[in-house]
Parts: sequence; structure tokens; C-alpha cells
Amino acid sequence: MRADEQYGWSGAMRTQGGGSPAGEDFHEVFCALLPRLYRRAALLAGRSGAEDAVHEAYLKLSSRPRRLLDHPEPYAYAFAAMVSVIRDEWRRDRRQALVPLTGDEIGSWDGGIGHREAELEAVELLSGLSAKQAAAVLLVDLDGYTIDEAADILGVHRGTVSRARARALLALRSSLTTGTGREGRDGDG
Amino acid sequence: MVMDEQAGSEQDELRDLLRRADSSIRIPPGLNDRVMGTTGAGDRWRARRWSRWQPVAAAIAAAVLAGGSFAAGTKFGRHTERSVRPVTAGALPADLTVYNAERPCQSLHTIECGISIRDISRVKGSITVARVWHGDVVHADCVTADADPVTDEAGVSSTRWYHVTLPHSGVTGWLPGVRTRNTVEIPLCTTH
Repeated sequence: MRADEQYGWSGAMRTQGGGSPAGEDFHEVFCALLPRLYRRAALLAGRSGAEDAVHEAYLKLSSRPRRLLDHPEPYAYAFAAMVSVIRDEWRRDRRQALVPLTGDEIGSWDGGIGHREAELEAVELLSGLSAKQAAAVLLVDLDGYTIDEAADILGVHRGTVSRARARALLALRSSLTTGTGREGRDGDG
Repeated sequence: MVMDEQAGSEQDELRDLLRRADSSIRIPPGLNDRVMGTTGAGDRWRARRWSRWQPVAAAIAAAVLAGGSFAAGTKFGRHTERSVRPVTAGALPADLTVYNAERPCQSLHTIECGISIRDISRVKGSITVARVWHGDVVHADCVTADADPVTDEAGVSSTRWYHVTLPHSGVTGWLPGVRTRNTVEIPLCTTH
């Protein structure tokens, strides 16, 4: 049984910002961004932490809905907020820095490990980077932003983005030649 | 030139991997409601945040109370045993929400993630009469405070066990105290 069935979470819940026009617009915009944000969170924090991460990002953003609505790139703004949430969470609780790839999680609801090989490999790869470095890799190599744009979104120097990508490529290279190995997460570079 | 080609090919490989990973992630059903609702995930977050500070807050509250009691006792003299009422006086049966400290288990309804309801408030020698999962609600009519100690995955330990009834099946049994995060007083068991 999925959690939503177990807890009866479907339907009837209202947004925090609901009611006011800004709140409704915010709800609509965030709704549209949610699937993409969730997939990014799953790569950064693992599926077990993805939902909490997007929820916390939602709470953070909904306290100032206009900032998201007025931002020229709402996705970039929301993504940066979510990365900040994930990073704070790792800092608060180092145990969550390592993405839990448990047997239960792998074999849960969506078809088993065979379909998720790439995801697991990507999560493994990104887990060797700090939150901002991993986020930078996603922005550049998945979302198609330039290095300067990614640096701007995350509020880091472009050198950080370049180094993050270099580390990711190095990890990819070594995983292709020697198999995967997990590194711990340190501070952002 | 060869180096550039190699770097380019690695970048392509990284992008390809990320794209495949991205496309393999399915959106769980009900995500919108849980993320943007006011219950569910939000409550779990708040509970987790509170649970981090709970020991500190409890310690401060206990210190303040102890200090206050001591000061009051010193200032106003004796306090007799007769004036002390047990904290469970007036306590009533209540519904408890099952809590599984193992995070990956909180959304899974598997046997491995089930929490046993036992026929007696002991670990050894008891049998499982039912299973409950994180978030389930059970009705507790009383509690025993001196049963077998149980420690959960978060390190919380307790010798309290609740005598509970499952709402749908009507099965009764014992739930270890660490398998809920109860904040209300429940009457002490006298006959179980």
C-alpha cells in the first residue's frame, strides 16, 4: 500500500498560500514545477528524501509567493531553494548525507532495479559531490544551463560549477573503469 | 585534440546517464497533495524538527519545573505526600498513532516494516497477534510502565507498553511505547 492510500492524503488539501490571488498563482506555478523538482530531488537526496525536500522547498517558497511568481525563471529559483533545503538537511543530520539505497527502496513500487540502473548510478555519482556541486552538475548537464547561468542560480562562483563537473566526470570515469565507490560529502567547494 | 574529444565524449556520457536517470524517476501518486497539503509530509517534517529539539526542550522544562518546585518547597515549607497526585489520575483511554522510527519504512506497508502487536507485554515468549504500520491509529485503553524495555531505531527506549485495540479488526494486544510518540497520559493497567 502506498503512503497516500495508507494515510488518506488524496484530494481535499489546500495550499498554504491558497485563498489570495498570489497564493492561487503560486499554487499553480509550483504544481507545474513539482514533477521536475521531485525528479531532481530524487537524484540529489534519493527517493526517500525527495518528497520531504520538495515539501520543505514548497513551505519555504510559499512564505513569499511573489518572489517565485516574479522571478524570471521560477524553476531556477525553486531549484535553488530546494538545493538549499537539501544542503541544510545534510548539515543538520550528517547521517542523511549518504543516500540510502536500501533493498526496500530499490524494490519498492516501480519495477525493480533493472529499470533504475541509470538512476542509481547517477545518485551514486552525485553523492560524491557536495549539494551545490551536485546541483550545478544537474543544472548544466541535465537542464542545459550554461556554467555562468548555473553559477548565478546557485549563487556560487563559476569555478565551483566547473570543478563540480570535473569531479563528476572523474567519478564517472572511475566508475566505468573500476566500479562505483562512494565518497563522503564535504562542504561546498 | 584527442583529449578534447575524450572530454567531450565523457560529457556526453554524463549527460546521457543523467537523462536516463531523470526519465526513470516516476512521480509517486498523490505527490501534489502530500507536498502542497497541510498534513502528511508537512506533519512528518514538523515532527522530525520537533523531535530534534524535544530532548533539549524537555530537559529545560524539567529543570525549570524542578527548580520551581524546589524553590516553592523551600519558601513555603512542607509538601505532604497526600498532596501529590499521580500523573495518570484522571487519564482517559486515547487514540495513538503508530510511529516507526525507521524512515525508509514510514511509507512502506511491507511485512518487514510492520510493527508487531503482541499478546503480552514482553518481547520474549510473546506472539504477534497483529501488525500495524507507521501512521496507523490504534486505541489505547491502558499502559503498563514496567514491561520489557524496547529500543527503537532512533535510540529511544522505554519499558512502557500500551494495551491497544485495532479499530478495524478489533484485535487487542500490546504495543511497545517506543512505537508511538504519545503525549497524553493513559491510565495505568490494573487488570491486564
